Amino acid sequence: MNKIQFIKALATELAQAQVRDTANTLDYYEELIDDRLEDGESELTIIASLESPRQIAARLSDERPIIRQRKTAPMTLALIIMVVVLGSPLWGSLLLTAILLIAVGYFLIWLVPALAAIFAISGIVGGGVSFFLAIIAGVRQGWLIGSMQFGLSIAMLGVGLLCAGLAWYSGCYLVKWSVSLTRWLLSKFKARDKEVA
Amino acid sequence: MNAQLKKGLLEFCVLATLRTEDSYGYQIIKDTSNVIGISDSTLYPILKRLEKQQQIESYSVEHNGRLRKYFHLTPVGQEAIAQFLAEWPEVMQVYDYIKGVI
Repeated sequence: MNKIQFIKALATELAQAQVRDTANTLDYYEELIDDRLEDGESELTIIASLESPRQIAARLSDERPIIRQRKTAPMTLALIIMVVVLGSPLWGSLLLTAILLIAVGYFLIWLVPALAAIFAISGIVGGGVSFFLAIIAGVRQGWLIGSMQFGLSIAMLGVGLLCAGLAWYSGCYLVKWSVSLTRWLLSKFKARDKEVA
Repeated sequence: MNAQLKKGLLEFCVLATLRTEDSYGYQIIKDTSNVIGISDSTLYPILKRLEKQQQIESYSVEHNGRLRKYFHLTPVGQEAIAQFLAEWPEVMQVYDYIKGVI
């Protein structure tokens, strides 16, 4: 195994052992190997003298802090369940209100690109249809009416295209924003491990 | 040397190596190995622990086109060495007890 293979194997083992701070660990071993190479040792000798990537990962995973979680007493748990069930008419309606408020919030945020998209479709379709009708109007009712209709169709098409651009860019921005907001909201309900020792 | 005893001494040996000048991983292993055997893999968790306890701090320096991480002994680390040396008479008392002198 050469240096690159060793570092790759070590990265894999560290990921599997869920060792944190993988980048610093890999930097340490890479630097160590480079220093020993500078000292005149051969790559194979150095790699052979090191612990295997699996052993290194196991050693580092043993160094992880102990996470202790308190177990709820059975009676306390029973009491909590009773309170939750009895209080459900109250907290249930409050929860539903909160969910509806969040849904309304999302709806209002997405209203802008939705309206822009509706105007875009109306403008482009209307402008397109108006363009062909302008030709017919020009033939039947004279060039003045025809050119006015033509101008209106171009204006509608332009507004439609502008609204399409607005819908697209605001939609792209709001997708990213909605995803981060949703992740943030969900993170508030995610339990975190507390390091004890 | 007994593994548990060695484990307790290694951290102080690493700190002592940094007392005179800043050093880097491989050099620390070479210097410390003169006194107490330490492997490449043993040193890394020790350095991590000492850095977490703020007894040492690290910084990178460019060396032959790559970055080399150096470690520096902090005042907290110096205090840890001083405390270890101050507690040594207690250790000697235990040694004498085990030996049967007291």
